[in-house]
Amino acid sequence: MSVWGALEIVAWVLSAGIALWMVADLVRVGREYDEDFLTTAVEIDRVPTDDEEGGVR
Amino acid sequence: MQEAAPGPARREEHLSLLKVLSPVHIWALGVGIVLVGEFMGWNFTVEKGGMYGSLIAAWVVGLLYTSLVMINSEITSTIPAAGGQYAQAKHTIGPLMAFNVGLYLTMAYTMLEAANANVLSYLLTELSGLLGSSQGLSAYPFATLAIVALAFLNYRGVFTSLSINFVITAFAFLTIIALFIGIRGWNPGANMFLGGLTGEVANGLPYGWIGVIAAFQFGMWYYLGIEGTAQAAEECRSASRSIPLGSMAGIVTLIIAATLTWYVAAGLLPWQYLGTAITPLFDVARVADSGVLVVLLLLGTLCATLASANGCINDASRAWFSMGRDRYLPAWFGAVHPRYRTPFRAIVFLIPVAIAFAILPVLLNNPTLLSTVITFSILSGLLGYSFMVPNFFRFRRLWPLGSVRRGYVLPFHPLPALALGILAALVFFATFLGYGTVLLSILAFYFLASIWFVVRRYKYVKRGAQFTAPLPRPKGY
Repeated sequence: MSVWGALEIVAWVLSAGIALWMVADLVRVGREYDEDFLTTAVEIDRVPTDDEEGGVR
Repeated sequence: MQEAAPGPARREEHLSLLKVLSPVHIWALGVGIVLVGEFMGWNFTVEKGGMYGSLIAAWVVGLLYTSLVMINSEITSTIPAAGGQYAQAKHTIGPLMAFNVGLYLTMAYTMLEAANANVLSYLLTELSGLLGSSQGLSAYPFATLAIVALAFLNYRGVFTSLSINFVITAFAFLTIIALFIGIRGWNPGANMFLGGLTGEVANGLPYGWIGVIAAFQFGMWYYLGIEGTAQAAEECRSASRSIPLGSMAGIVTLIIAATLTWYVAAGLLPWQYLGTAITPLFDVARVADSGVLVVLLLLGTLCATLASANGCINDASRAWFSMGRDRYLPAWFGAVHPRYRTPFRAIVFLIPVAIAFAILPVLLNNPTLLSTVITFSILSGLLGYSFMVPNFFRFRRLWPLGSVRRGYVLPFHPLPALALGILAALVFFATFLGYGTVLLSILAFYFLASIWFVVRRYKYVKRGAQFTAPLPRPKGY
């Protein structure tokens, strides 16, 4: 097998490993945390204040 | 740069995306997505309009994007929410436009990411050939690895992924400067032949002014994606400072990069070749006959491609996440990772979509499918730009100057908004000349998606929570 052929296999193995890790973590978080907690992220908790540098009305 | 410390959020808290980004990251996000366009793609303007047509396109379309960036800076510094233009449309117009804009953003960035992964495979195949490999390299594993690895970076945290983007984007930009210095660009008589420009006037504008207008479509390559800086607003330590500063610095960088790119390429390559080249800047380095420049430009092209794909993952996932958070899509997509504080489900969901678009042109042995994917991305972006014009007029009407604190105020209103509208219409016309059928197909796709939204999803939308920004009551309400 050529070097490039071996690199192709390495790329497949790395892709599969990383993808599996993400899916496993995604499932673990879903089981460990309440769905409401995960899906009610605060969008904007502050707006520019008068003291903030660079802001104008 | 100091690494932020994402940690497990306490369960009684409300989660939020991590606020760790500075103007440098915003610059890296905006320029990172775009810069690959200077390494490849922009040169199709030369095929359409000739050398001068390409330069006119670079500057006229540059005006379109400058207007866009200024408009973005004012609204986003006031409504610093993930989703960028989606959040703007949600606050100023309403759910149907917001859904459309969110979908444009997701499709534009995911398709661009797929095209980048495809190009990366192509570059590696070329590299293997240059290194003497006789075996044809498969495009699948490297395109897949690029998408998955970059998605992993984004999954683990925005600070690291955009810090890396800063390094590789800055390197790619410096390779363009190195090319200019390497060929002694300040002294055109030294190494440059100006083959496309000297001689007959027809070399500069071979197809006249209609060719110049046709070139506008590909002129977008010089800047497409700079508007993505708005997507990161929610993750900035101070959006009112970071978004205007990072975005303005970004568009200035891109105008310089576009002009330099045009200048060195016009000076060393004949326009007939340049108009169809796949990697024009790399070809300039080869013509310059400098081993160092060839290596630098190859690395620059690779870095620019990676930076673009990385930025696209960031932006597409934020748009998709925001729509999930507001129930425009199933709420499942609107989740934030409790440890990394990233929109992790949106990031993972879009991986197979991007891989599919990246490898389909290879799988079906249909290279024109890649250009269709790219055109889909460009047109989705363009649709979003044209919607920003009424968005901005309405934003100024609902919250006039003096009523709310802004991080940046757009000067000379309404001229930039009008310029954006007129130039976007001109680019639509140019696209219609070249890709009329694709344009109509894309419009039909978004029309059907809108029907789906109205019939099936609208009932789930949190209508009472559209105004998520803590702004004063809009004028007239």
